[in-house]
Amino acid sequence: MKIAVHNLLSCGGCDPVFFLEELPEFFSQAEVVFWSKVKDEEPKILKKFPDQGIEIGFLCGAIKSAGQEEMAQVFRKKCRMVVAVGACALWGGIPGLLWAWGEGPRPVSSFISPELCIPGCPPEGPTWAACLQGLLSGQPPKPSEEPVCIECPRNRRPFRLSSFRRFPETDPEIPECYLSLGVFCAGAVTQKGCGARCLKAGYPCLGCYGPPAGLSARGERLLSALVSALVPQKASQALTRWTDPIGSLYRFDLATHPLLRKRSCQRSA
Amino acid sequence: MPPKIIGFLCEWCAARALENLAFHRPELPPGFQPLRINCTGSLELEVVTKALAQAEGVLVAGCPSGECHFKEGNLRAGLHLEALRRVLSALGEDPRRLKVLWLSAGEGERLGEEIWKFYRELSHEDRGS
Repeated sequence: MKIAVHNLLSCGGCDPVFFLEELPEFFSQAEVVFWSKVKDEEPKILKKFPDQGIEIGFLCGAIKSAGQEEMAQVFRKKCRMVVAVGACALWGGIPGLLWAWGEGPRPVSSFISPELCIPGCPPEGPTWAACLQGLLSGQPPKPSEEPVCIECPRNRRPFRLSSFRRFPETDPEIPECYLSLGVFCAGAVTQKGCGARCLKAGYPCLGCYGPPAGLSARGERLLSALVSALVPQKASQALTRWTDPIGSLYRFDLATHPLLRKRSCQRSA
Repeated sequence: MPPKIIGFLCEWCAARALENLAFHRPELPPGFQPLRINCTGSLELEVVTKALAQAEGVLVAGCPSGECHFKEGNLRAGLHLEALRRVLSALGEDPRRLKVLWLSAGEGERLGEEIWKFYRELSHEDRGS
């Protein structure tokens, strides 16, 4: 089974996860014919393969330049199945935050339609294993409808807030839900699957696994939930103190925001 | 093209105010599209964001403070929209594209004036950009 791997605009952290313990079984069957990061190969080598000649093509990262777009099109042409890997390829990811200052990258799915999307920044080993097994058996797993809160070990209770807080302002000894502490934890609007690794390590969820199936506008929903919990008398003060709205709400999916899509359409028109 | 305005009007006050205004058959801006909603407190921010992506301006009109049919829907909506304004500024959008009005069912004329005022503001911005 021939596979090809390529990094577009990303930190390059997704494909090293191939070396994780869960995957050697998969790679014992695979022949890597193109991996630009490991072997400094020219993209034109890929063009020598016959159409649909490669079994699986893994594309990590978002697309900003014409060269990256061309590479994605070549992958689509040469690979029987294309797998978009990581938050950058799916929603623009961290490089997508460039949209706050101007033209930023777009996700892979804006240009080609992949057979499978593997979420995460980077995807966890069990997610990789489940997705690849599903892909080979012809039944790729569907996105979960359940949020990260299902896997989170912290205590949940009803709450009202008098202010928002940043993570360093919280007491690490308090095992309460981060939302009840006023921290913008994206767990409630993020699909499960990561095993709540960040939360188990004591850090709020950043939302790299993307929205649960059927949920749209997760940033707005998280904002709505937290603002609803504010005590009205202290709400204005809390909103004034609130720093980094984009980072807290759209850390991984700013590139898919409808307002920014509209702006980019107007620019290109 | 005249600027398009989507108006979310609370059915207990602003939508009635618009109905009262309609008896006088006034002329309203050509791009104004009113939508009747149950309460401004029930307005999802997602809907407002999508409306801002479709139109030049979004008007949200609800009951004055203390007069909400559902006790605190307008209070909640006010906070949500204030928070959304902060997000819009951070996204590089003009927060003035989102206008919030609090008026009662008898203030139809004021609603008409405010719609025209908003329309003129948006027209000036269009010409300026």
